[in-house]
Amino acid sequence: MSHLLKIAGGRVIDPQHGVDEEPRDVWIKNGQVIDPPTDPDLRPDRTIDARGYIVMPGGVDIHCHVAGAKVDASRLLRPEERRLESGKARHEHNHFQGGTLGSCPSASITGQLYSGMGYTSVNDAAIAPAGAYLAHEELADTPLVDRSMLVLAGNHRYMLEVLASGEHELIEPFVRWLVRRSGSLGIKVVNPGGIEAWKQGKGRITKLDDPVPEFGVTPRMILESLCKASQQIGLPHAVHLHSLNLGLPGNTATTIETLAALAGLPVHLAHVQFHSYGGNPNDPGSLRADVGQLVEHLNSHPEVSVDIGQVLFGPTTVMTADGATAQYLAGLTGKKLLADHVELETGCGVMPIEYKDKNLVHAVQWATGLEWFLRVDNPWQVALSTDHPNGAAFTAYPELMALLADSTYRDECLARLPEAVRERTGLREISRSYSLSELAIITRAAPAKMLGLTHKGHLGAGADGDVTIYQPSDDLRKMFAMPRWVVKSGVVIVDDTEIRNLAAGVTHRSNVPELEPEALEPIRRWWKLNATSDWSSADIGTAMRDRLKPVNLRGQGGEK
Amino acid sequence: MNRHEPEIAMTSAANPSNHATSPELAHLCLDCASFCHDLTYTQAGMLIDSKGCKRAQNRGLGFTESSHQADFFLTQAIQTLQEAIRLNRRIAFTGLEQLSLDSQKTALDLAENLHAWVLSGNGTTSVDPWAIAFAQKGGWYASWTEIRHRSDGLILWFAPLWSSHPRWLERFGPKSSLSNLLSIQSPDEVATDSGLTNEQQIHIDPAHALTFLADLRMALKQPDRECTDSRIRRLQQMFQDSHWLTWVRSGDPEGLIDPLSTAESITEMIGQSNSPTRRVVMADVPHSLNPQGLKAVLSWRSGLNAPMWFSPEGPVYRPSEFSVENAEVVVAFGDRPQLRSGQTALWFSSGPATADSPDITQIPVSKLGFDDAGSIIRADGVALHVPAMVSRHRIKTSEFLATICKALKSGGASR
Repeated sequence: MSHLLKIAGGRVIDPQHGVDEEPRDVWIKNGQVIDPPTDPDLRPDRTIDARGYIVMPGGVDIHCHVAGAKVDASRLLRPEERRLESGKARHEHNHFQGGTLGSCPSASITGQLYSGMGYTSVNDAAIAPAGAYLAHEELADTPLVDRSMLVLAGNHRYMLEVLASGEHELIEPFVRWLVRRSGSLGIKVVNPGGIEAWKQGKGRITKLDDPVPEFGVTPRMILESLCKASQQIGLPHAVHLHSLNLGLPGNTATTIETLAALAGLPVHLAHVQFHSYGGNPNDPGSLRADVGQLVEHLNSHPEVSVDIGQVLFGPTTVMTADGATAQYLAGLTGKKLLADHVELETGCGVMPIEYKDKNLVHAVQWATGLEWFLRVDNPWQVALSTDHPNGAAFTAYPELMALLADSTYRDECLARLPEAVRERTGLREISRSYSLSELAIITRAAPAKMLGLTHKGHLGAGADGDVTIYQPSDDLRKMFAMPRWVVKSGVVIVDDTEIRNLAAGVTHRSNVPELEPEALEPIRRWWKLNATSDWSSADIGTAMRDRLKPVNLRGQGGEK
Repeated sequence: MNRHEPEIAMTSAANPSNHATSPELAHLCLDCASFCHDLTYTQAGMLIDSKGCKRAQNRGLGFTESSHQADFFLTQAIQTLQEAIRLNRRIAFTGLEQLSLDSQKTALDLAENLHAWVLSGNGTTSVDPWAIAFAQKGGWYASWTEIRHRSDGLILWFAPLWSSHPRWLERFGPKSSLSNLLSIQSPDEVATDSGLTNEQQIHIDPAHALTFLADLRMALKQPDRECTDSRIRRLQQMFQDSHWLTWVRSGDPEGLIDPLSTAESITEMIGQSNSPTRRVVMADVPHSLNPQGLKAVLSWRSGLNAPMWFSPEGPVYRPSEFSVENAEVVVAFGDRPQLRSGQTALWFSSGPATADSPDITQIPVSKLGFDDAGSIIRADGVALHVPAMVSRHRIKTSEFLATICKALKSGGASR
């Protein structure tokens, strides 16, 4: 039975179609946006009177950590977070599962909190290949939002062996296999080669041309081959990169060098705030913002995009595949640490952290992220993120949006920080405030476009019927924290600020075709020799893959 | 057929037609947590080649025959739970570690609807000391393939794998050599068929394990200090000589005094032994099928570890209160529940009928890996798919639980 919803007369912001606070109607039929019907007698099943309200597409989070073994372990590592709160009971009428909060809420609560603030799509940015099946099961239990994941690459033993033997032509089939078998949207490269060195217990790799012990390949070789493979395949999302030296003073030089090495290739720099520091690498206290050169590079390279990984003050959880960085940070802070050497590809580090506004290093990180947002010319190259939960939990997005849109509020916050922050960052010189349209770009339109989700982030005909309706307010934090209505796939899930309906959501995957048998054979042969599980377990399986919704590759009718 | 309707006819033998043309096939062995995938069976589930493993068994032997059909058990189960709800009884779920991921999810659905407790193991031990040690201190771990490729030293901590997991060392032990291995074990541990030399065996009375650990940690911190205990010296040497050391545990030994302090001490020692250029990790080789799966599902469903309660106000962790002893109705999977007077149980079992008490309803269910398929998570986090060997019409746990859940909801009997 068809269902017709009309959102009438709202101030629509749809940057992809150049619409900026124009009073319009949005029509949704069977879960998709349609052009306004020409038949004047057509009556919608429901009309939301949105006059005076701001209407935007549903929010899209390009980079968060909401599923998989690392998130599951983090909840068990941090029971102290749950000691201070009461759990949430199962909702008897709409059948939502109950759960708990904290910086890593349980799956059902994650879906409820995201949708409650107007986000309708989330992308987990780092899933280990061996953990993909489990992560899909968890994502399937995360209601009210559409989901996707990026599979980790950049330290896989097979890839390192292939590169070491000079068989570069085997990288592209390897990436295709990895993405297909894991049901992911694309690949996330974390500390290329550096995690392998850490797993060997042979220290850190700090330079792009340092050889990975035992293999002799360099981070530069790994990055170039993976970015080329990703482009050749046409993955919907560019390589999602967490490069070397995350969090270390002076790492801007490495980030610049990395971008230069990948010139002309599409790449997405993840949580770039953590990669944009000046200072002395051997003196953690010397951290300062060093954003200028990187912003200039971005401004002149449209093939590059970033999400920021903003730090906001308060307690949260560090969660990274970069075991070396986690070990370093745990050494600095003395906090408990989960460190794991994950099957064949990656590492893992999880630990508590609290960002304090009186701590100079934390305050510099806060200001560095904001400087990034405010200095980039083209908001279409930027996505809002806190690298949830690393910089802050996603529930802090409204605070971040307020900091960007209200320079007075931002200046007040800056004034409360240690004096040295004003010398170590350029934030005090910036008076820019984001418009609502620019906020809509960095929270919806741009991340959807970057991910290749062509049916998300806009309100044109054919788009998913995901819409957020805000009540305008001078209190931007309140406005963005509590939309009046949220529509997911045409279903009004938040009605009068309350979550009232369940929409299950789907998980997206790239539509990568099956590898030809001859292309698969070298991987299968290698697996038999090197893995300790059977070949069928290398794959999420047909039944799971069939539950996922394919997204076209570039050139298959998707985003070019 | 409706996917959620339990299949109804139960037969007592594998379909003979499966025997006829069956070539041998490799199949995942679920007899221990090593999950070997290179053992071969006939298509009817009869073992052909165990690769020398003493634990591997014929997959299909010993299942329950019953003259009743699934509907009978469904009615019994629904009546028992409806009665428990009506009388506001305390319901406890036990043994979920023995289920596939799918069944664990469905079991937790039901537990949440019933506001039941979810206990670990058979529910007699309320607190998992290793879970608390993890929450206090964190931990250093590695997947088993990583251990195989990287480890150059192995210490077994009360982990007689040669009998409990006969092929674990062969499959996951250091690729290079097993000569750099020490086994800390009880004095009465029989290790004659372990392949270990006397030099590789260190005997410690579990009652003195905590003191021994304290001495070891002191020796590791102060390597120049003279140590008279040759056992400590051997371990100290192992720590010094290894660049990538693995500490394997497999449940706590009987007679261990203060398991929590022991777990914390080991966790802390391993953490402190790591440096940017040296690795020491822990591997847990469990005795149940899918404890890692349960941890994960329970974490994303509730944010908590077992033992926990899906209370009407939300999930609660209160280990001192939640035990099988304090429950009135037990929903048990795997091992037969040991009931006290006044308790009743629904027992999901794929083994032979042994319930001889009117308080226990034994529900004969299919066996994972024989006539039921599913996925499990190996203890190191690797997902494994377990196909069914034969197609038989027995109750599938996941479907049966889903049907109960649906029936209770539609009858308005959820709490």
